[in-house]
Amino acid sequence: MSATGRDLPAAAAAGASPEVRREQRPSVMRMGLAPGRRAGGPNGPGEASGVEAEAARRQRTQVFLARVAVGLGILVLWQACAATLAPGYIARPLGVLGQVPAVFGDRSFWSAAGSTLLAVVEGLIIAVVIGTVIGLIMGRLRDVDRALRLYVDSFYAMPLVALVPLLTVWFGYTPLTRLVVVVIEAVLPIIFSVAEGARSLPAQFTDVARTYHAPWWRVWAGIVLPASLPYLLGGIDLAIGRALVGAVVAEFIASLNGLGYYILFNVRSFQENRAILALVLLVVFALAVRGLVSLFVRRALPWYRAG
Amino acid sequence: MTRPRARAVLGHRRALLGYAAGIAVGVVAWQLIGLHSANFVFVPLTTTLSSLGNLISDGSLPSALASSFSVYAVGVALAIVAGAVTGMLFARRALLRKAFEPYLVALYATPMVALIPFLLALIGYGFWPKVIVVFLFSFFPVEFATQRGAQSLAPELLDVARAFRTSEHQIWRHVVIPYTLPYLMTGVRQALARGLVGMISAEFFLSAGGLGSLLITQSEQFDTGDMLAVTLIITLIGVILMAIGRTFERRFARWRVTS
Amino acid sequence: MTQPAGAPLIHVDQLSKRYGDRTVMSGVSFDVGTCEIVSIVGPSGCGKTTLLRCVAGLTPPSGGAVSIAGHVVTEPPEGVGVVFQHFGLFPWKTVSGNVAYGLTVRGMPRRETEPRVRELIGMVGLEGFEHAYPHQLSGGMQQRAGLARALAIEPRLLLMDEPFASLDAQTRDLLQLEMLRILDQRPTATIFVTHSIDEAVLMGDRVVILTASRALCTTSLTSGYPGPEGGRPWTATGSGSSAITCGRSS
Repeated sequence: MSATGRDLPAAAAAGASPEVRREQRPSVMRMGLAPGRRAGGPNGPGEASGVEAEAARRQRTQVFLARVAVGLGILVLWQACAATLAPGYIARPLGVLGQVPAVFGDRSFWSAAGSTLLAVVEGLIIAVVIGTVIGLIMGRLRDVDRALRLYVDSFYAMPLVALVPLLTVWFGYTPLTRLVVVVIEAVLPIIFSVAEGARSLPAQFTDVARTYHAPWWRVWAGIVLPASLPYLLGGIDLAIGRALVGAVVAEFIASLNGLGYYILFNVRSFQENRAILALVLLVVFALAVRGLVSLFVRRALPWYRAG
Repeated sequence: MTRPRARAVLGHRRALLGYAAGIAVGVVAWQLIGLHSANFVFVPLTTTLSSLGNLISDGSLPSALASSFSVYAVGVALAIVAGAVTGMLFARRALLRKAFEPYLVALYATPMVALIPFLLALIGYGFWPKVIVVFLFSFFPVEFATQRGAQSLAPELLDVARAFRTSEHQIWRHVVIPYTLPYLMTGVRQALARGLVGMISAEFFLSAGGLGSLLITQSEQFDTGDMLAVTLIITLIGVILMAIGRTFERRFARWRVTS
Repeated sequence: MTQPAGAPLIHVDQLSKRYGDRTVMSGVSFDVGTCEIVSIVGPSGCGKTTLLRCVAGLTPPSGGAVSIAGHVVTEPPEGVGVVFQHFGLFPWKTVSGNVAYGLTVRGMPRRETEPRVRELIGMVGLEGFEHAYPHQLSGGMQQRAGLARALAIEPRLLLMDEPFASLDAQTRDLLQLEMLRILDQRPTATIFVTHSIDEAVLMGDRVVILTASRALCTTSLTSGYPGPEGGRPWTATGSGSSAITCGRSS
């Protein structure tokens, strides 16, 4: 059966049969945590015959061209509107391109980039450690879960950026504030996901451990932790976005050296084109980290994908 | 009492004890830490609550709430409508969807906060810029969830509809929309949370008025008692919105086995 | 258009279907009478489902044609009820909602569909489950609902695509007999697709065998095969397609 991406009523009327081709969801949209679907006919990957493979190739080129067309269209529209309607300091594609050598050759840009990205990575690592521990405990010990539930739920439900002003009072306008923000933003989805993973550990697994009289630390390290790993990775995926938002807000408010502040500063100095490049770097970083996590899942956790 | 029933009652009591213990520890800790630290660092729970009372009575909190709420409601409502329509449209037209896909993914991954300075430069302060920020935060989860939902409709079900000679608009009414609704609700739940972040962030930078703006002013005056009070209210709002979101999600997912 | 009594309701003529350079079936021809149950049996990949989809108007054939009461099928025709292998119930509708579906999309108001739905739910043995959702039902119950849905529109042709293949053995046996009982009460021209020869022989008045040789399918008709014990000696009487009724002969 054709998986996704069929046109709805319009193509349904054309009566394309399910046996013809199967589409793959683009890998960038998947976390890699869902069981992978492979291209090919109903009987598996090897089946695609000459004509079908040709049709698939044609479709891929069509999609590629459409994507390029949309991208170019957006850029052209942006440039045109900015050039004709907006004041000169508004960012525009050609302007951005023009600033590339200036920005990428600027040492302070890279120092800002490093500052932000390092803070995010540092914060993520700390959050993973803390979050995993708390999540595992909450997942397996019902009493602790009940005691902490109120706080975890509340912090998860609130917009954590609302804490930034308070944190600046406590930690000052320093990089520490940003780190604390990142840690808090990242730790919550991780606690949630790991707790869920630990909680939904199939009883069979612990039963096996008990029949073999495994000591408690073996149960935790050898069973609970690996079984929770997919959930942890899901939590990390969520945490990355939140961490970036937190870092940028902290930099805005506390005027810290970083990509966020670089954007703010350059926009205020009517150098929007440079700011756009910083924004691009932020997006690239976000996609790269998520891609890495996804890759890690595919390579290191094939057993989960099969399950 | 029979043994299983006794165990159940004990289990119930133990659960309540767990929750109560958590709350009690929190309350006590708040009070103690507050009493033993300087006023600009932390204040006791009692002081926080009295600050809350003051903020309500002098009108600053109610007016901030009104301002925040109007921005939030308009932004999120627009995002839900736009996201649902776009999501279903993209599910309907595969080529259109695939063409825009990489850009949507990039936008979804963008920390929207970073766009605020650009918006400020482009359209300035005020109500509509804040609404746009909230919209940008809330739109993508709705679009993404709706699209994924509508896409996942099993082709067999469309065959069933066609076999019974269902007309185009009836397919939307009886098949596509009912099927997609639960997915939309998941997106709405996420949008409610993200919209709140957008609202606060926008209020930090795009105007006087609103809870976020209130926080900034208070932080500049090291008014920690007031800040904690406002933060408490914001937390309460967040919890309520999450509950609303989850209720909607559950209500519309009654027919789903894996929800 | 009037049909002389006894003329076949369905006429499949040299039907073939190709996907690219892959031929799924070719040269398939057979007839189905007004009150006949014709079983179609063949190995997997032989195009049985494709054949059914062509008759249902869901897939256009590459060659040949299907005609129902003289009209060539180009899109889903009137009065055809389909029962799907994987039930195909809409998960967001209750059992009643699903059974009424064919009538609802015809514009029939609730007050008219309700009695019919109730009757059918009773006929297939799902009393009490009117307001249940499909995911709350077992496979056998879902297929009963699927059958009820197909029968609700009072079809002149029933198409069944391996309807019991997704069920466990016991449920399958049960439902086979249920089906025959229901079709006794409401005789309808039926095309029943299956991969099981036993089932084909049990369910059908006639059996059409699709064979695969090199992914090409041809038909060999075995006609006059008696139905289950006691037979099912239906004949068609009357004239004009709307006046044809089915009755047991002595």
